[in-house]
Amino acid sequence: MDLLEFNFSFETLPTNFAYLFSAYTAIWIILFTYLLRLMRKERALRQQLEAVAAEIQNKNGTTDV
Amino acid sequence: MLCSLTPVLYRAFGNLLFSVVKPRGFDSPVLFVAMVAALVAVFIYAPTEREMGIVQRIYYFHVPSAISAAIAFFIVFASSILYLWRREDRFDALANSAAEVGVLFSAIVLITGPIWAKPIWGVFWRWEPRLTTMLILFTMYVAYLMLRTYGSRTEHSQRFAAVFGILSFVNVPLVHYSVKLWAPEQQLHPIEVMLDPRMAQVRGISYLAVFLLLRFLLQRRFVLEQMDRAIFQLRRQLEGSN
Repeated sequence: MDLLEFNFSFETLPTNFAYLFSAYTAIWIILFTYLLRLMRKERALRQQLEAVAAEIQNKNGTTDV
Repeated sequence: MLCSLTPVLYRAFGNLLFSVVKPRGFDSPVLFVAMVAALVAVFIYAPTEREMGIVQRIYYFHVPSAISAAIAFFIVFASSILYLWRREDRFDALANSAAEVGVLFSAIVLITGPIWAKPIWGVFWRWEPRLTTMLILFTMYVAYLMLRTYGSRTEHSQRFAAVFGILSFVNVPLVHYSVKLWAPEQQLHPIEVMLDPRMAQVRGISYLAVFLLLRFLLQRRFVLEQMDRAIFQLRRQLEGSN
């Protein structure tokens, strides 16, 4: 039963743990924000591509673009 | 002799640069495994440093990020030279993509550095040689990106950006040698780092993981850059034919 008990306290954390935690949190936030930005850009470019394709289709009056 | 060698050199160097951004099917799983391995090694396998304690573990992502930024800026430098030489658009696209990824890694270095510095040096920032040169490097490539974003999409603008990309690279060796170039009493960064064998192993795994991350981000960014340019060309052709 003792094994299942979880005694968490901030005093038991090693010295400077907050700095280590902050540094790695910052790294992952920067990376995921950038990946999200790339995904958004890709989506916007795909929409632009579809718009250009539709424009070409209208211009040619055909459906095989 | 030199004239006959230049096309060969150009092709070899160009192919080498583009092999970095060539997508391969196994890229994402390999990156995932390397990242997990690096995190396990950093937080579980690596021994705690005697003087700095647990906060020294920032080193394993801080230093590889700095090297990755330098590699990305070297790609900007080499692609810019090749662009000025041959005026091939793909080199300009690669330079733009590499600059963005380089700025990302520089930002990681400039954010994690002060967080590491506070408990060790007692201050977040000091105007010492390496920190100052790194900040200048970051600022120069941010200026490069602003030039690309807000400048016109003309050959003149691309040529100007290429020259700026080449000149900005002068700062990279300056950052590296800043610990030796300036007087020792001005330095906070060590000239040489001696690591315990287990720490050196962890550093090796972290380098591998961060370099794979650099390759992955550069690939993705380069594909988008080429897509953007293709759409721009299509639009221009459409407008021209109207």
